[in-house]
Amino acid sequence: MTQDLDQALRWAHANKDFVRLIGLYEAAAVTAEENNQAEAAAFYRTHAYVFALQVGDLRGVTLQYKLYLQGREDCPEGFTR
Amino acid sequence: MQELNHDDLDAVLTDVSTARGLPNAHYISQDRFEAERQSVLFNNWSGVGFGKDVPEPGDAKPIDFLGIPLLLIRDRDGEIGVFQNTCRHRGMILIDAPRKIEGALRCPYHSWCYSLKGALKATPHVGGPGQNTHAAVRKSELGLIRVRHYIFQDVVFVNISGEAPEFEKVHANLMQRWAEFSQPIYHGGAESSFKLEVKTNWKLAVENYCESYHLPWIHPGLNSYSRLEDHYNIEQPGEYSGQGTEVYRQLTSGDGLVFPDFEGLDPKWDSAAEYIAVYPNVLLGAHRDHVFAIVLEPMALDRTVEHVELYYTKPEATEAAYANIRGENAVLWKGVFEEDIFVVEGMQRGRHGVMFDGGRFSPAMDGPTHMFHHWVAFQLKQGMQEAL
Repeated sequence: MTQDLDQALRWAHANKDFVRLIGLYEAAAVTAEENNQAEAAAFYRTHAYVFALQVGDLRGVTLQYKLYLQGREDCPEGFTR
Repeated sequence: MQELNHDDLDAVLTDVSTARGLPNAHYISQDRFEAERQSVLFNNWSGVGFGKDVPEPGDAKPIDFLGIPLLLIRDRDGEIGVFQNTCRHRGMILIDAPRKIEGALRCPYHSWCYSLKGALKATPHVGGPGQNTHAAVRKSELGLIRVRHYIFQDVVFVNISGEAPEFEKVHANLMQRWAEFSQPIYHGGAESSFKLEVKTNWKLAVENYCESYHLPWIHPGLNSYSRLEDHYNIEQPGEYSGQGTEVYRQLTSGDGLVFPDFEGLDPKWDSAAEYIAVYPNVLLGAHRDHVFAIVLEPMALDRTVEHVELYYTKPEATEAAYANIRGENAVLWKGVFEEDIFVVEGMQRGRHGVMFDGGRFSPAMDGPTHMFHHWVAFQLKQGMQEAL
């Protein structure tokens, strides 16, 4: 994770900006994937998913499905296994 | 420690003409308070809040009911649910202040997430970092604990024990009695909501509410038009009791405005009104043009909060054109209920008189109050038998 991203995450947590946290954690997940850090990517994406769930953000379903495809989450309702 | 015994209660569980009231200990002993907590309040249908507290989908309000953390939620379908406000993971309180839930309910500890219907939706990292499932943690078995509830006259009743008969069965007679009032009601807004903090045991507020005997002495302002002989007792053994008046006078504002009536009421309600204590802790009032509900929150042995809410019959009665008369009505009722405070606090202090034997009842005037005592004593006795 870059220093900028880390600072942005800290700011969003401190300000309870949950919508922003979704994008920031997903960005962290993508960066981790690019660096072949699968476990770190899943960790960050899980956080993105949880905050999406919390605020009812539509990205939640996609994030859940990505985690599901990696065997890390249940299949979203209405999606094929 | 004063043991709860049958003899105390047998003196209550007899005819009103010979009965004594519940002994002092039922008002001043922590042991009795705790016995009543279970046998009287948890084993029956108790009022804990109002539907108007969660007016919109996603609204959630935590409620502490005698130490049990509850959560009142209105889901996306507009249905109200009552849950234990405790995460199924490590028992963390989920919500500690009223708020709007945009999506899911996220536990602030390890972020387990629940839908507004209580289903467990996410268990992040439960199988290790980034692994959000585990064979041993079945989401379908770990939804929020639902508490049985029923909404009547916008009051949220709960049965903590889960073992009481259905609300509609327990209160079939009351629902039948007030079937005409089974119509939509509309909360009057901020000025129609107030609470009174009273230094008394919650039962004394019920007892005072049940009877009209005190009206000419405590509420002399009513005497000019609502005399004692204009009232009648309401007694439904084992369910509710109260009083009715045959001379209800509709409030009229200075400019001649009155509240709209409920639809299709029998003409008797033109001048009648009824005030009923729904056992154990809810006090209701019904009139042609408005209703009110009071939930008595037992804060401690000798401390009660009376939550008072006023409702009207049509949406227009909640609009600005009726603001003044709504305010007048709220002031009127608040004044009446405040006049009762010195009585219920005085009776509480009087219970420390060690030679008071529970007191006698007027067979003519105190039937509704004795009926409540009788019901409480019966619940306690039943609780004692179940504990054996």
